[in-house]
Amino acid sequence: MSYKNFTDETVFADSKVNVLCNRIYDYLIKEDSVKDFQTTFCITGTVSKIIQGAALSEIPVIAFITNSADTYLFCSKPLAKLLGAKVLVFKNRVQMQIQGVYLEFWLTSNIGTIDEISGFFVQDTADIPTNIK
Amino acid sequence: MPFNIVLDSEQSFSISTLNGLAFVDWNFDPSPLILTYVQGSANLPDSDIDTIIKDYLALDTSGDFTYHVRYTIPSSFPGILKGEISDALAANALIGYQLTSSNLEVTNTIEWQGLELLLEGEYTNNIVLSVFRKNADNIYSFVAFRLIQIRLRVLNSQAISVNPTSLFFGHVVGATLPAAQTIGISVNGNFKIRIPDVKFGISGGNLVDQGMVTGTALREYTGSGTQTLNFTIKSYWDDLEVPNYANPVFISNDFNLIFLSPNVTVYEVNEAYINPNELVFTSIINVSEAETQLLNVVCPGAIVVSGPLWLIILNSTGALENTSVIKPILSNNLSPGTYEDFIKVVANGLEYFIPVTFNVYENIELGVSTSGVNFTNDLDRITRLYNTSDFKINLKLSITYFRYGSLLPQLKVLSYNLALFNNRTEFFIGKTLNNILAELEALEDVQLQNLENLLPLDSFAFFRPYYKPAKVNLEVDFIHANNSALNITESFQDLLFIKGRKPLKVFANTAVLNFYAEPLRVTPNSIALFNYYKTENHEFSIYKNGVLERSIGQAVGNNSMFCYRHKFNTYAPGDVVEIRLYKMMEGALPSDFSSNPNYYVSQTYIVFPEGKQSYHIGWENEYGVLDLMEFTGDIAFNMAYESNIVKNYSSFKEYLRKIDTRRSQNVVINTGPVLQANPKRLDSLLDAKRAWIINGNDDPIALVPETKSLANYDSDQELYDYDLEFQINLNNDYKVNS
Repeated sequence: MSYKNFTDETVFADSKVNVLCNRIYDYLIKEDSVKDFQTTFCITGTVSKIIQGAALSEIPVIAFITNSADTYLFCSKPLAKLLGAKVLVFKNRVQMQIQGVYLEFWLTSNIGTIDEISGFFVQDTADIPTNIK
Repeated sequence: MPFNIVLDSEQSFSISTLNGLAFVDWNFDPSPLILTYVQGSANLPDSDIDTIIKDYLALDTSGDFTYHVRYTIPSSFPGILKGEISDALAANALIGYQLTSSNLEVTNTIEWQGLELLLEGEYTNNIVLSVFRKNADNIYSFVAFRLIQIRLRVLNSQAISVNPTSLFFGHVVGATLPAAQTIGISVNGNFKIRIPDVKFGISGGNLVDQGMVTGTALREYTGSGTQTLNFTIKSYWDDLEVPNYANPVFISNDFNLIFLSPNVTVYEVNEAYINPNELVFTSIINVSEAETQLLNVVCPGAIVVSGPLWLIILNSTGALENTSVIKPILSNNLSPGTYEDFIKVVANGLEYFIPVTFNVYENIELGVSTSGVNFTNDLDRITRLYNTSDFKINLKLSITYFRYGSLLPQLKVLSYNLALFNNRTEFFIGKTLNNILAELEALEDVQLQNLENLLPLDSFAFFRPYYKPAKVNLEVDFIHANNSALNITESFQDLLFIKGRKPLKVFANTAVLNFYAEPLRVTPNSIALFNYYKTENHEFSIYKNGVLERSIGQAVGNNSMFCYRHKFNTYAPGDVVEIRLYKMMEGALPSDFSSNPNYYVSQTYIVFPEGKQSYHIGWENEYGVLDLMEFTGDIAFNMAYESNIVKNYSSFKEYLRKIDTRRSQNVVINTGPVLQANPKRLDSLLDAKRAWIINGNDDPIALVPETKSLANYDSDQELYDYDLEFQINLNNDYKVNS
């Protein structure tokens, strides 16, 4: 059974984007090097805020955050290769582009509180770094 | 509850103050280190060089090695290196500085010693940083080295120097005068400066204005000791006509006289000249990194160059004339793909955008289009394979091709073993296919044996399909010499190929199958075959003297390579006929769709008067389709006989006996007058393996072109016509063509 919660919950109005996020989670779940990703990986930025009840707004980037070096490593070039995305890897973040959609994966030493809402793990609004869109 | 979040149409990434890349390359700042020392002055202060060490550990994930950096200073060089690396070396001189993922950014400090022993002169030298890899058996192997470049200038105590020795100002007439530039004076004791007063100004340091020098246009200033001064230009330069030559500034002490050369360029308008106007880089991950390229900017003022995060731009700021050194980041920070962006140049307040492309490949630069059709002889379609010398390559081509007039697939599998030289090798898929794809052996295969109507719809529009493009599935195996776990397999499906070179003008899925598509001479007796590639249902148009004559629709079905037969019996000499094949467009068609050459490829025919004779010669051109041309000159068939005669001996007498006769027949045909551009088409005919004389209801006569030379251009000739010679392929031993 493949991951399909983004489609089930219609997180994004564009079904293509939901499928893209479903695929990311599907790859993470099936990747051996990614351990306990539900407690070390979550949605951050504006998407996280909207899922937690903030007003709807157009988002410039879909951002994720992790405090696991292994998960971060997988979210760089291996994940980009699976998705067929273009990627630029920094020490603290991965910038990814696929079909006009911008994705970010941040590495942090302090992920704060991870909340579960509608089956999604999201970084608590109070802990979302201010610079993440 | 659905969230229905909408993505902003202008996607953008978050901003971070930390932009360190995951994989870093060597960097020294400053580089080179340039210093001046005046004999007798105080010792130079320590020099710091911020150093970033390449992350060798990140590139070698085997885990069995450690990496170490050692330094070497030439013994003859003054000064010693002191700092983090030297501390680590001091603790363990043999092991050197062991690299970890977190100690790659260090500051090296050079402490200068023994400068008082140096004679006047220029000293250039390097500190060598060598990288070694140590295995579990404590054996070191050399990996790489980098140089910290140092240039030390030692001046006589009586000397005086100025840095820089030249200044460059730019000024747009009527605009604000440019900002002051600084110069450094190095001297022991007093000095004097004399400058052209109407043109320039100078201030700062401990300068004292001594007034105008009598009888000259120079103003004199005095000062003492090493210092930095501000140099400006004056409103004298607010005129396009003022000459810019001989503006020396005189700087002297009691022993020496030197010159400072200020140069001023006056511009009429504020604009920049930038070269090149596009940059393209290519890197192969783990194999080769892109070379640096230069971007030159000339403008009347300040220059600031910036670019995407995947570019490193050195000399990004300057004035008047600046050369930025640009190279992409280490390709390990990127995934394979094509990265496109712009370099932004702000030149004296104006913005310019230079497109920049970075191609990142990993192991395979396919070189072949995966979405459109490829041409087998297109030299831009070469596949390049990369890896280290630990690998060999097995390349497998699974080819599906089709015979003429058949939709039945033919299969062929080819396998090649390739070795890498200098980490790369090349393979030309198209050339390989040329040996496989079907050839046009007989005109009956495509129902063109007499060019007459054979099918029910031929009288409305005469189309014939040729062959379907070949499909290639490519599988590349990179096989490691020692460790099969490191093997890599890459696959590419359904690469489409047709024979020949890529025509000079072609659209995606639309092409006229003639390389030059130059105009062709026809007469009212002529029949032409318009050969083309088209993958979707379409409508093409026929224009007579620029006026639409007819549009013809076509459903392509399962084929994509066709000919359309066009007769010229309704045209008069002097008419110009053009067949236009349009590109596929999405959405509403632009108003000039039918008339704008950007939307169609075409073939033009120019109608000449009828000739003495009329023979149509057809041949298989480089695309494997039948090209056709009417010959209007004389024709001559010649028979040749070769008798096989042997000597017999009977009753003590020798006599001759004929055993056999070998008959051959050739034909010499004159083209009649043709256009000056048409030797291109004759070249195609003479290059063909086979040709035919196609003449109404008679059977076609099979020919083998054998003309040995052709004059492409002859300044003595006004009308071009050629005698072409062919051998006739007799279809039986007793056939006589006459």
